[in-house]
Amino acid sequence: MSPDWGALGREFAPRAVEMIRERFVTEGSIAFNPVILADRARITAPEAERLLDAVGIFTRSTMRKCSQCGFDLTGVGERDSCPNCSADFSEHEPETVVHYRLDREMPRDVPWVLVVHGMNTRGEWQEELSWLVGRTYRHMVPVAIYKYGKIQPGVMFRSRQRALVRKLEAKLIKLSEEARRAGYSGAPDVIAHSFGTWLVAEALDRNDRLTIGRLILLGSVVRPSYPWQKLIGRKQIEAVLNHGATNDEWVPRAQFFIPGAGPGGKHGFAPPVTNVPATNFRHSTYFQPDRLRGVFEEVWQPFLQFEVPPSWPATWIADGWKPYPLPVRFFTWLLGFGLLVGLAALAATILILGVRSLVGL
Amino acid sequence: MSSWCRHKAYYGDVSEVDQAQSLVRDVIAPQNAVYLKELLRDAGVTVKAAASKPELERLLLDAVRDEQLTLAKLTDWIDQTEGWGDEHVYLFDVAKSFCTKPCWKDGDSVRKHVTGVKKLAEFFGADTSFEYPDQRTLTGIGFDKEAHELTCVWHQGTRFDKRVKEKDIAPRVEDDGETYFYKAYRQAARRNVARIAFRPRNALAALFLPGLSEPKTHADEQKAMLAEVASIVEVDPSGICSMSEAIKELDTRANTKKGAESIHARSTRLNTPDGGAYVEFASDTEQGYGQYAPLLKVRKAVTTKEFIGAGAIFHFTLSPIAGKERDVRVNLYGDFHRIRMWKHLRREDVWAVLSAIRSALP
Repeated sequence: MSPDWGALGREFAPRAVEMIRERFVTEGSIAFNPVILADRARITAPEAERLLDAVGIFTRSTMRKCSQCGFDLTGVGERDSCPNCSADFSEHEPETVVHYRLDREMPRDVPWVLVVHGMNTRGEWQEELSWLVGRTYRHMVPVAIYKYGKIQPGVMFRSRQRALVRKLEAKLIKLSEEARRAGYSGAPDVIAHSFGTWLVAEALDRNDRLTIGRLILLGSVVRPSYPWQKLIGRKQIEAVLNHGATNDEWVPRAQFFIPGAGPGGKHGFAPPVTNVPATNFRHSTYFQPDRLRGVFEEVWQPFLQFEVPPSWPATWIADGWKPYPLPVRFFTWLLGFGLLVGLAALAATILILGVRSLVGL
Repeated sequence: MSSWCRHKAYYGDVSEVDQAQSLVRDVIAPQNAVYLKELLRDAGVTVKAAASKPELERLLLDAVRDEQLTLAKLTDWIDQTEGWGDEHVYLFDVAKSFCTKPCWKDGDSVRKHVTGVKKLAEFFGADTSFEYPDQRTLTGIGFDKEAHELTCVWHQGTRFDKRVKEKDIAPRVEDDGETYFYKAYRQAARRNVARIAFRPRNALAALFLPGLSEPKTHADEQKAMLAEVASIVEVDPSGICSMSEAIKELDTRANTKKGAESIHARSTRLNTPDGGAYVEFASDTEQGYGQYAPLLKVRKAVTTKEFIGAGAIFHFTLSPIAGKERDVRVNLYGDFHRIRMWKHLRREDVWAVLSAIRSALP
């Protein structure tokens, strides 16, 4: 339940209300000492207490400290004297410290992050994202960047796809082992884009010993019928966020050219996947320098950091999905293949002609 | 000395009910209210949740009078409760070669082993002592077959002054024309319990010293106690379990989702190995500091390999009593590897905490 910040701001000092709101939207527990809040917000302590009561989400707790030695009396049982300095409490009453607490789940640990790029880029955005994660968490969250180069034609062929999946699998196993040896506990969270989402999904499905933490799909070309529920059930993945660009130009076409792909980023996935729209985004808008920070702070970071992810204002539930009939997909694939062969032939012809003109034949 | 003789020696020739009531006043009433309530409820006495200590004492005395609580029942209860919890503890790893000796095979072997030592034979299986000796005195050695644990118990009576405001004398002018007022104290007696418990199956020994004892005296006390029973339990002081290491591991566990279900770290201090500098994490509330995102972020950035655990306050979750959630505060100190518990507990609770601490060590 979120308090009515507007109403509180009208009734109490807006500065104090804003201080509480700022803490409320962060992850983990929060606790206010009314004396400190009063000092920071330039109000009186009783006013601060009235405000904290009015917010309606806090539990008032009182802790005791020995007035003689300052010893914290929490958890020492019922006593009539200080266990540290023996001060008699009937003579020296302990001091009390009041806190207004909101007990929430411990912030989620993000041990390390793996980012996997799509087929159209070599992942320049990964470097930008890595820098952003580093700035956000300082040095405590290493970011592993998985690169496999530009592979536009390769994605059309099953054999090439399988090779790429195996390569990712091996890399993930190696990185996980290295992270474990370095003292990072837990599986990595993964941020994947475009064909990278397909690779991650295939690798997890292929090898049920691979585990990751939370997965963020961007411009996903995974088929909407992919069994995420099964993977979550067997504890291979903790949770999945599908951040789908509403104006994605490539995702709807993926199934026609990439065998086994689908428009997951646009259509969405069935629960428990959370589908969050990236309004007016195209396939790679996420990574534009003026957008990356915003989507990271507003969507990706909360998803990774909160034990129970916050609710976004506009999520959607995906309905059933069926791929286009196989003959249609085969025909389009053939068309693409033909185009590819044509382009290759054209390139070869130009090359041969060029060489011949150079050698004067 | 038989149980009856011991009771007589302490209480004189009095009825069992009188003895039990004396026991309630002298030994049982000062224990933790939670356990007193549990004792009363087990005896079929209705107890209000908010009952005060004096009310509980009255209910206990009534229960003894009505024979709902017998002397035997109270004696058993004392064995499980008195002294447990509010104490300093030192854990020792014991040599495997000693633990696997045939003398630790079963209860009979242990009895033969202990009674084979002339000066200690009389203490084996002795009834619970109710004496208040001036000096710390070995009063019993027992073997718990279920826990496979040998326990040596020492008792010491101490006197202390308890402030009693209602007996104060208000300011008054005396013969010399000056005004005097008097603060009243009642002289009371208390029993301190010290123990050495040895669990051969875990190759672990624990030395317990009463909460009120001064840590600076502990080295001498440890030495004396270990020497007194050295002929039956071989504990090498160099085998003391490192609380420095335990602090680091428990703190790491407490800051994970799974670990936080059974332990939370309210305060942890990590020193550089040379002791020249330190970093400290602490919560001002009853929660672990890891619940607060900004602190957890900083903590995750710390590589514990570069530090030694200097001190910590942990809260361990204990099994509930009558549906009531319980936790116990335990301080760990890196120097001298001391564990300090603060609250009266049952023996099983103390062992649950010690096992959790030991599990944090290789």
